[in-house]
Amino acid sequence: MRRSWLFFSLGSVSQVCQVVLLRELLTLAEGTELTIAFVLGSWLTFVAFGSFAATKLLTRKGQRLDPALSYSVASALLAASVFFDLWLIRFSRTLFSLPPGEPLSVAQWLAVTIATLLPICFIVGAQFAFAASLANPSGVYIAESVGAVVAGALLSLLLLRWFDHSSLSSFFLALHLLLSSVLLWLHRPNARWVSAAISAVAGLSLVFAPLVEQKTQAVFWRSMFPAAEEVHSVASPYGSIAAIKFSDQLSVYQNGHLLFTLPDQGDMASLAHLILLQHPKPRRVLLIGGLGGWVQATLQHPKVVGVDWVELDPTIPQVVFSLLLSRERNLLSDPRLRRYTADGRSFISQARQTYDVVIVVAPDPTTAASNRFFTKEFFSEVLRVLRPGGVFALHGLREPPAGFGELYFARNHCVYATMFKAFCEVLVVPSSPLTLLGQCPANSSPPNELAKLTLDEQTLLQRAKERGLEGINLFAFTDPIQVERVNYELKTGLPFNPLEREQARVLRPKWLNSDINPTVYFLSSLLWLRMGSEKVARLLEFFVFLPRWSIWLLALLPFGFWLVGRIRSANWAAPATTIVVISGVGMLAELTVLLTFQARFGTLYLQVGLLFALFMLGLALGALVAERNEVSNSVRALALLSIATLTSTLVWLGLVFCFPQLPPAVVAILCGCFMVLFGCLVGAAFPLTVKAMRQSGIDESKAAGLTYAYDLVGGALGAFIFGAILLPLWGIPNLLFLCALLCFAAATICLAQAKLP
Amino acid sequence: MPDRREFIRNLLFGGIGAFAAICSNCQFASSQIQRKNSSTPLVEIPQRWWKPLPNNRLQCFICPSNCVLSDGQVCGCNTRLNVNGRLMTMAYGNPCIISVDPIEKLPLHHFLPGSQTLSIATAGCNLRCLYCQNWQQSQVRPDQLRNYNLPPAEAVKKAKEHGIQVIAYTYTEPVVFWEYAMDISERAKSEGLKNVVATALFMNREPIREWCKVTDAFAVALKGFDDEFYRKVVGAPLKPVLDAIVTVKSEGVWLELVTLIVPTLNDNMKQIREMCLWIRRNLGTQVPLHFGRFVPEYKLRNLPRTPVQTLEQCRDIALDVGLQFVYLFNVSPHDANHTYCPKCKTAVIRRLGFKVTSNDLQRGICPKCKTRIPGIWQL
Repeated sequence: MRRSWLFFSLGSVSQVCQVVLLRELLTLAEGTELTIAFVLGSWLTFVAFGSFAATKLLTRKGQRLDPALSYSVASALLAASVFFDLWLIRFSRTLFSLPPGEPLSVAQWLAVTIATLLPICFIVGAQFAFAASLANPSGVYIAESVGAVVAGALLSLLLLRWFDHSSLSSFFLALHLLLSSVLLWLHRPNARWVSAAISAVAGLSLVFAPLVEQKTQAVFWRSMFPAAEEVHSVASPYGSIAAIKFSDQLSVYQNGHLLFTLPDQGDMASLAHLILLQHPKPRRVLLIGGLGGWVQATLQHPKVVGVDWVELDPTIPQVVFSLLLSRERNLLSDPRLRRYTADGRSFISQARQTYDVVIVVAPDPTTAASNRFFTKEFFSEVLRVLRPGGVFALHGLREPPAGFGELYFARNHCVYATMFKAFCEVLVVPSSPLTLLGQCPANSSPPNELAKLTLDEQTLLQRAKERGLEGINLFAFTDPIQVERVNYELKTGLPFNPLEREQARVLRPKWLNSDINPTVYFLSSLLWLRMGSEKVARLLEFFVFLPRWSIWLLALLPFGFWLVGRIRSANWAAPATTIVVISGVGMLAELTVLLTFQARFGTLYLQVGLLFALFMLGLALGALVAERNEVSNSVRALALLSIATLTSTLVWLGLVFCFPQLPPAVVAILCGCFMVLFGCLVGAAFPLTVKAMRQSGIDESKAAGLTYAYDLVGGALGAFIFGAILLPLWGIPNLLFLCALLCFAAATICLAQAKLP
Repeated sequence: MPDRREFIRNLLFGGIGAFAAICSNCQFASSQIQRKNSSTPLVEIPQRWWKPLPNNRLQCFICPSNCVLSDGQVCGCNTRLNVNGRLMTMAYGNPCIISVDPIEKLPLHHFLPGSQTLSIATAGCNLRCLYCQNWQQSQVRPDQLRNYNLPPAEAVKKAKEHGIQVIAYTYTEPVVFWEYAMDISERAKSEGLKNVVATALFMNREPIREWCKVTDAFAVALKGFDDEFYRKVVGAPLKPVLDAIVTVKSEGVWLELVTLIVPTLNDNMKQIREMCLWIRRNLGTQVPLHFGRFVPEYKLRNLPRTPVQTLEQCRDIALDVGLQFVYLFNVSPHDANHTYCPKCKTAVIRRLGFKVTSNDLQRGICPKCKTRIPGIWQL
């Protein structure tokens, strides 16, 4: 137990590798919660495999592995794998011979993800099993959790904004290698040369990290955009930012994906003019996002006296300003322009100023973070800052391609209906992506004819002329046929084309898009998937057409799992079932806390990182408390733990409904407390399950390996099936209630098992 | 006692459950396709355009791919297939796009400027451009989309009902629904309407000649002037396209060319010059050439838009070589959207995007210096 602290570095290095590889893998494919869930789910599953395989190797009859030597050698292999992975990810575009600008296909991305994660996760899982046979398993679990907490907090608060991925990984790997060599030194005095060699590897990884970073980045950008004249890469808390100069243009990439190109030659600038021309006298304008052309166009309107421009990532404007041509820079240094670095939604919810025009340039709602700009709660917040007669514009909804299915119509109709519930008038502009204009609260009387929203080209050009604006091309946004089409499609959720309408499989969600029921986000994820792989998307579409009641059948799953175990005469079936349930529920509860927090406070990566750290802290605390307290019947204790999880879930569910009425500080504190609480419950399940398995006659190291494996399987199920698929479709309330039922099932199983001979 | 086998067995149970769910999904998905298939028409293609081969195989001669198909196999264009040793098309009377557009969108700047077209397209394409702007329709089979039911007679009727004088075959690749386009064109021509085609023209000579008999103008996408670029990015060799363009010109049909400039892939100025020289040599100096601006789309969505400076350089080269009518496409407002008299340099037609803002031509003649501007200016 005293040596358990040496395994602190395993948690740290695992956490760092997870964050670094996730960020790296997202440079190859556009990231949504589905891709993130796949990475995290694969991570947990592969670690489980590693742990199980190592447990088997350690407990087999005949020649057994030396755990100390295996642990140390595995550390060296881990270091090699991490650097190999960084190279593989950045070289993958060249490997697949992709032309400049083409991202990996879904199949290619999956192949790279599995190839990079499998060796690392396998080693991490195996190292846990080796460690568990060298010290008290629960002690190792606690030390690992504390290591993950510290690394997570350091990454979020400090390191990610200052250091590149290779340097970060090498620092934590060196620490891990040094502690491994100390462990080997203590356990195998005759293998000191191995321990010295491992220390040398630690030193080498630190020395070569900057070189690896520089070389591999060069490989990546050469394959992405070989003609780039200048590449400026900057680390940001939100991902790596690269600004590329090419001819007279400046293109900005975030995590390897093109964000925008300057100067904007008309497209977005014309749309900005169209929006501002809706208001007779736009004086104060709020612009969320929209660096490419929007700001300049807004400032061209003579009546505008102030533009508040909100951008989430401070790095992007900094990079752009440092590289822009002087003409563009002068435009952006207009004294009427005030820049803010903040999350757009939280800026609006806290704003005291009111505006004549609010423009939100949001990405398509394929992620939970972007979906927050399409919910009924957000529209209510916008109305609060909009002056009477003010105009709201939401730009970023992708349009359905012809003949491409009803999902798009359903998704876009859901956004329209949600917006129409808040505004008395909604008009859709046929831009690409679509722009929705809203005016006046829904319960107020519509504005007079002069101030009404319009897409009549002549009227708008007349207004432009009165403001001294010449050469604006509005035709693309005011073509009467296109205007009629997009408005019909969003209003009804049906195709404009009458023949297509007759055949359409009508899919009109009856519920609106909200923070706790993010329907639009789920439908968008499906569409995003369809762009990459229609077959995978069609599999997920299955869930859309499932009857609502079918969700409750999932509560029977633990009984099925337990029965299978009983049929196989496995005495450990009940604890195994319980840890899968508690880990899955814990993971889902963690996600609901994050979503709730994000909806209220915005995409504040630092706070989200801290919330993760709080969960890990709870994990360590829970495991410590459960380990220290002797229990006579561990299965009965697991039943009580399931009931505690059930109660916590229901209390959290009640609070989710109360949050809109509670002050922000209280919401933040409650989110933090519940993160720790859910962490405690999941953490306590580990030692209790190990004890229950040992009571059923399994030796300690095997029990630890199996418990770790089932713990991770539960986490993976919670992250992928519940978190990524079911949560956005069925919403937080239904899923939390399902979690309560699953806990009830686990408690029943444990109590039944305790009574059985 | 739990062991590895037991663990794997438990995982297997879970896997079987997941597989069962997936199978049920697959059935769901395939039944959808089945349902759509049943409404997809199959029209036989005259044997003039294909050759039967032993074992129920056949060879299609419509495009230079000259696909050899086994029974049940679909051509690379995604629309033609071998049914019991006969070549059939799935793209007949079932367009996925019917819309009304300005003719400038094709782009055709010297053919009835300011007129509207009834644009028609079915799914499918015989090329695989990585930057396709209509990939959702062009890279699938007709049975994978929801389509209109529009027989040729209905198409002509619809155009006349809306007072539209021009029918355009565009958006995807009209070569893949050529049989359908031909039938509409013949009817349209007999009723006094015009037919125009926007195509990449990867097509064999004989069908092109047939097509030219009923078509009034072609807007041909010459996507670059490098065979390697064509093979890697467009998915076909360059030479057949050049031959096809010469064929259209020799048939006397109005022709305009459009080249989309993709940064780093086909923006080599030396090649642009070679292309312009080839145009001058083979097609003359009066063929309008449009340089289009690339916007990130389909697979090349992480490549930035073409710098306007690059497009202007291309235009300068083309003018320097001696081409008289060189335009910029997808850049608006820009001076290179207008038509200038090659002699007195007066802007005779002014445009804002796809919209004609003024047309000073008098029956195709410059009002200032009376030079005849080539093109089709009246019905």
